[in-house]
Amino acid sequence: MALDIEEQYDRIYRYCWFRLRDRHRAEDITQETFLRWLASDTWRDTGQTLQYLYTIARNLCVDESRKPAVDPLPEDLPAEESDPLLSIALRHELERLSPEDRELVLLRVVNEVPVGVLCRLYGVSRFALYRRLRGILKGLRQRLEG
Amino acid sequence: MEKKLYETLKGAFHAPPPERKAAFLRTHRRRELSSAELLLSQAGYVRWWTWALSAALFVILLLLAAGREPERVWISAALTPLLALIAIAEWGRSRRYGMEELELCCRMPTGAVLLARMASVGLLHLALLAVFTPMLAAKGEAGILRAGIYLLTPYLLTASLGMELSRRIRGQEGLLVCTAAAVLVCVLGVWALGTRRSLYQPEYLPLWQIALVLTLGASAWETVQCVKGTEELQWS
Repeated sequence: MALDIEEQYDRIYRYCWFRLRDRHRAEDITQETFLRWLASDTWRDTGQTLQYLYTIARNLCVDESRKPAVDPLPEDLPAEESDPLLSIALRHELERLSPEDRELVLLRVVNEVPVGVLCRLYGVSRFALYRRLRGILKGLRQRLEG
Repeated sequence: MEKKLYETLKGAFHAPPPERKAAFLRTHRRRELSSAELLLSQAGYVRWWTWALSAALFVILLLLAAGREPERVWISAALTPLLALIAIAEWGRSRRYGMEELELCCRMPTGAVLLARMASVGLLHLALLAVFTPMLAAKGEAGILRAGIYLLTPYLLTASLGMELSRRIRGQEGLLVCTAAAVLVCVLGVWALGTRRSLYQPEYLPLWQIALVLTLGASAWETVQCVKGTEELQWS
């Protein structure tokens, strides 16, 4: 029932950052997402909170990306990585994915959004979602190994 | 490779840390209700006579347990449908009085509210039965397990029947039909006690166990359907 705002703040922010690639705009959108969610009594406790949060964030990101882009400042790199070579190769492969596929990997693997929520968010069946995600990960794995 | 890929993917989606998170959370943090708090808050909305009737029935069951009649386990089992009827009467209250629309305007979803109220009544009943069963088994032939099965099966049968009927028949008629169903289960228990006493012998225990599993499954399914029913109502 209860939503951990602190945890979800980071996840929504990460999602917005990867859509906008701008720290300040991503944080503005994250806060706007939570403000809209907090202002909505109808949706807050209906058990579809995550879907609602990601829908607001996605719509706000779409609106924001239509505005003229400001040159983003250089962003921080991760402090430590267990396998830097694999990470660089993976980042390169991720950039080659379509934005939709990249978003799905981010939501499911990194933000750990439940499959049920993703199905409602994308309007697809569980089977279709699993198949699509498996295909993306298989492709990534093959390109990294090959 | 699979695990390594997942770990590396998490690192590959590194975003620079947010700068204004602490300030935002300080200003906008609000306390969410935990499940236990919701349960307790909703228990306060259950009518006093639901608790009073449950307590009264429990006292009757205790008086029965104190007696020396060999049939007291089965008589008690025949009375548990009445306990389930009390819970069912509480379940359909908002629907019966046409208050669903009002409940839909509340902060919490109607399904969660109903579930919390039913859980509070159901947990009390289970606690009463859990206290009562060892007392009943202490002086009789039937052990705790058997006595528990005999008590729970008619309770769950009435609860699942009541939920099914109250979903299908609205208003006061729904409560009347539920009462009839509970009385029928009671009468069946008394009838079995009078004419089919062998049903309560140990050789029929596997049948009772199957019946318990079936009624448990039916109750769970009916609960899900009732909660889903409130979601449909919200969207229609």
